[in-house]
Amino acid sequence: MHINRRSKSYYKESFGRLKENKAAMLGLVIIAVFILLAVFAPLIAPYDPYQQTWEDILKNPSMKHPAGTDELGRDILSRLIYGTRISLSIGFMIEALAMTIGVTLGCIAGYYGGIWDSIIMRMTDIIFAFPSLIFAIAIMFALGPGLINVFFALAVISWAGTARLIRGQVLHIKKLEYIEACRAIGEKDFDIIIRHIIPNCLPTIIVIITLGIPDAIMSEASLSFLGLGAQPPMASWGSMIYNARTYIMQAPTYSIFPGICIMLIVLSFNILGDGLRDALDPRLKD
Amino acid sequence: MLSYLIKRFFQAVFAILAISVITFFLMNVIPGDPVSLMMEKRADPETIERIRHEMGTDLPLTTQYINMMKKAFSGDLGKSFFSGIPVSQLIGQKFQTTLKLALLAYLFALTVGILSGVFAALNRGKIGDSTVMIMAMFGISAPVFWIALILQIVFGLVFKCLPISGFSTPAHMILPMVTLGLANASSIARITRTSMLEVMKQDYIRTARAKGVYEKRVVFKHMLKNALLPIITISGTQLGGLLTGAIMTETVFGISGLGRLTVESIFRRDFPVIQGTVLFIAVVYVVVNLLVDLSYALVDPRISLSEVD
Repeated sequence: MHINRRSKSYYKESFGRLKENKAAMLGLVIIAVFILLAVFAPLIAPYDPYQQTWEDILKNPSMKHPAGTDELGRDILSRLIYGTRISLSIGFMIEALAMTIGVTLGCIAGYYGGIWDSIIMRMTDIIFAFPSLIFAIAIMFALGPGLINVFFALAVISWAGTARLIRGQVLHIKKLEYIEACRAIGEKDFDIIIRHIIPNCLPTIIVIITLGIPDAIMSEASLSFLGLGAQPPMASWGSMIYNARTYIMQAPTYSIFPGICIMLIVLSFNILGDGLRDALDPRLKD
Repeated sequence: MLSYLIKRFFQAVFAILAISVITFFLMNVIPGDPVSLMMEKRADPETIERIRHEMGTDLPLTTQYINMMKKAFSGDLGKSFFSGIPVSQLIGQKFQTTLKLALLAYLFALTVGILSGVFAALNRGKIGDSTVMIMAMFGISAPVFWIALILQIVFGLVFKCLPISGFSTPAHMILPMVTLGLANASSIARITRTSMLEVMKQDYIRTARAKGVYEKRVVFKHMLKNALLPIITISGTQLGGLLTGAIMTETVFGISGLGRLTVESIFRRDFPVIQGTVLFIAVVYVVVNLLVDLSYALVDPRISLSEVD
């Protein structure tokens, strides 16, 4: 039976459109650089990120320490490089879990409708009604500070948007004739969703992931800035800015570099996400 | 219109009830017994039990929740463990500051965002357009708390022209207002540019120019007025977010507002204050979003409110 799935040439054409978008390609390159920094951190970082040197406390950028040192004499550049691991891993993990929950519930709501749709959409209404940072803070208060709890808190909040978007897509796709044909020949609902509906939602899923990761990174940085995320001595960009606040007079540059990292990676994902959206469905550009 | 109003009202009530249940659950179930945590190891079991009875935390959870809601409806959100001051009084004092900050940031975002977006649209494809859009992208991507620190360094330490903490005088309000409003100004600039470009293609704009109408009048009376709806939509949804974004701004600038109260009470494990502030901020957020939804029909009579949902 012919499966009406997007052909390989569709993705090839989409990648061709993406390559023409210079800003998106720049974003992709920057993301690749950050991923390489995260993977090869032990080889690239000039110092141990936890090594304290009391003679080098709160030093400004120099040849010895290109990004300066913090209040315990630790090299900021090394901590920034290791911080990439935390930001990227938290971003990817949160988005992976949010996507799993969101796609599953979105498909159930959109495909089955009825009571399932009502229950799932009311759950998303509740999550949207709560300001996300406040909700995250409340969950973190209940669970306690730490990165694992940040992961759970942000994943609980992040799935709702995905579920709504996927539900919208499924509502459209399930009405198409080939889906009716699948049902008519006795194909099971589970097989229809897995083999036909989800593959046709893939472009939307790709864009949601790309635009969801920077939100997750920013949220983790915000919670770490409030002292609820990564705990000392872990090197998280948000907690570095949190610590830098106290030393703004003595070492103003301490807070600059972690913020630049957050801004660069969020910007790169946003630009790439915009480019992917335009490349995967040029009609959305209008 | 009336049926839509009733439907949205009940949706808002449902959302507020759900938020109160979730907040109660998070504050009272998962962290364990609030009284033991408050007393830590300073009290014997009999004293802890007595205080638990006085505070009503020895009752079943559903009874505790109902009692909490009954008191909340009458404005009693309990007392701070730390200061003994009624939570509603604390919230009343601090909310005024947060509201002032949020409104100033909103006005800043609207003014700067709309003017930048109009400028970018009128200079489409030129360097002015690219500059505004690049700055807008940076504004959206930079964390609020980092923008606050950078502004403190530049204007407080390098140029020494603005105070870097507090909120008492107009000079003190500038940096917090810019910090909180910058991300929203960036979003509004992008939406304004897109909306203006759509309107600029319309026949009535060509007609106005052909009639010899002054360009400034064409831009502000014909183009911008018709481009306003998406701008109001996006800026309206941001208003509620400003109240939560104030948490970061108040923390950095040492402003004694609701956001800072929330953060401080978390570190003090002051349960009644955390519960009260979280519930209050969430309720305000729901009400603001409801008012924004209802205002759409006022802005554009062509919109039926049932389409907005």
